[in-house]
Amino acid sequence: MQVMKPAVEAIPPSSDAISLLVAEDDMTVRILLKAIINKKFPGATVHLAENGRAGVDLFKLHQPEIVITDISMPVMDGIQMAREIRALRAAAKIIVISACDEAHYCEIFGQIGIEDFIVKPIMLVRLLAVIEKCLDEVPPAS
Amino acid sequence: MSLRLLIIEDSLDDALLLARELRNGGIDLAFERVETPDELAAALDAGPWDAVISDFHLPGFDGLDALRMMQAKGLDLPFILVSGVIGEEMAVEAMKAGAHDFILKGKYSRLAPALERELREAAARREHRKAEAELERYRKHLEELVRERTAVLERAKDAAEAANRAKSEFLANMSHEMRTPLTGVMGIIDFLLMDYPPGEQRSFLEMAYASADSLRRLIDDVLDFSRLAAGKMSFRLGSFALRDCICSAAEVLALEAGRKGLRFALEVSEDLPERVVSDEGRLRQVLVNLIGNAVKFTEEGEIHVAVRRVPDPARPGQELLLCSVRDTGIGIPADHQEKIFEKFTQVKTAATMNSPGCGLGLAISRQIVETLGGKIWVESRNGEGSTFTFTLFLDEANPACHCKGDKETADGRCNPPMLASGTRLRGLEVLESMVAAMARTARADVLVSFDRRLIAAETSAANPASVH
Repeated sequence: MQVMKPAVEAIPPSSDAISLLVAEDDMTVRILLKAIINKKFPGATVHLAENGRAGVDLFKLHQPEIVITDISMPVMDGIQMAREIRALRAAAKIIVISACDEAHYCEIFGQIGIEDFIVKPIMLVRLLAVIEKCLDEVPPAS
Repeated sequence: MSLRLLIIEDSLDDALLLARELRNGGIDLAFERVETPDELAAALDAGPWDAVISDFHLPGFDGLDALRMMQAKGLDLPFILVSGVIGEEMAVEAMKAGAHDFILKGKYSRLAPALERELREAAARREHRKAEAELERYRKHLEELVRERTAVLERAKDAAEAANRAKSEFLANMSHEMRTPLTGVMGIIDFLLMDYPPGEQRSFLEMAYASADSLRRLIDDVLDFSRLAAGKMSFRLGSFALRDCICSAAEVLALEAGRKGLRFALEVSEDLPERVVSDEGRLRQVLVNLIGNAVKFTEEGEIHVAVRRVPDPARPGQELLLCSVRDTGIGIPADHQEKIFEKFTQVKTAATMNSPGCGLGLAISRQIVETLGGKIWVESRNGEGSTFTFTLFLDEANPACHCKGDKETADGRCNPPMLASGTRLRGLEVLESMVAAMARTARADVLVSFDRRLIAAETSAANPASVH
């Protein structure tokens, strides 16, 4: 049978102000990501966008510390969204998840500067570990 | 039919004499006499003629001029000069210029045989030219035929390649499309398992997860294969904990072997380096593929996985990682042992009839191993089991180099370097953009430690300024 997956222990909110943005056009994945983030980080606020354009708008509105984005989305893709968000705030933490792992993205990610690139189907444990690492680096909200 | 003779002669009497001599010599002829260049030109154009007999001394021109006029019109007729007084030098010059014979007036007995000979020779020349022209026509026709056929074949080849590319792209797109819903399925199962559901629910969820995971592996294989066909398989280099990678690959399959009642032994040499530079995911993929095959094709006995370091015979002073997977399964007949590394190949025997799999795993594994600087081979006896062995460049990670998972890169961000397939880590064809990208993210050290000599040269050649 499968290896035991470690249970997720909720991390108590160290700060009430942590917020995340999830941009993903697949509704199931979007809802799943919000659920898992809320399970692990009960104090976090998760904003959901179904395309890059909505993601940029939500980013301007809520200024989340961490952005998790798909690449291929309608209206505006995740690469363009990441570029615009990077221009809005240099310190934003960006995590990319995608079904594509084409080599040419490497260079683009190098230019934009991202925390991690996780290929779908993603391991939730890995995603949570990357988020946790990002949270460690986020300066406490003033 | 009588011979059509053109006589260039200013004296009608001489012309008549000539004609008589020829008739006496048995030649039936009709002649026309010209005596000026204009008349000659008109007569040559009016032709056709069978032969030309010319006096040497003519009013306003001479026999050589007449010969040149005839040649200028592209005519190859027997041309015989007749003259009373002419020096030997002039005679030689005339022959050099192309006159066929030279006859002194008064020696007319030679005229008829000379003309007959020259007529035969001219006929022979015509035949020869005709044959050559024919040959030339055949040659041109053949060339054209070859060109046409080549063009047809090229079009067919282009069409076949386009179709193949379209198929590969379709496979790649489909695989991408399948990954997103699979993320939903696997993620939700994962999520539900986190709450420790009770007994049966948990085992059902785990079964669903295992099914989804084998579907994922299949999709990954198809995607890898379509990229392999297009030469676009991607690699990510980074430093990673070697032992963890090997154990995590073996762990899942050890459980599966246990379920089939097989013994499973994992023997990892003590002296393996803590961290190495290679592609962690790809190494795991090859291990999972080989161990998975061993479990799949073995009904009783054991699976034995051994990993150790060995000197590299090709690079003095360097080492290779050597992994072998031995099973006591159905084995592979000798004549299939090379073929199984080709795509879509599964040895078809009664024993493998019911085995799932798309037959891509070994083809992909070979591509991975070769790109990462190693070799893969099999030793097997039909019915007695197989040992699959592969090697990889073994490069201990430089403790100062920051890779996947670490965070202290120059700009504080983590972008594992990737290499496109076709890249020969051992060779020089590291894509420039990749090297440049790595240099920008201060990753040159990763590659450099992979193959110090070659890659370092590439890095400096590709983008020396951007290594900061």
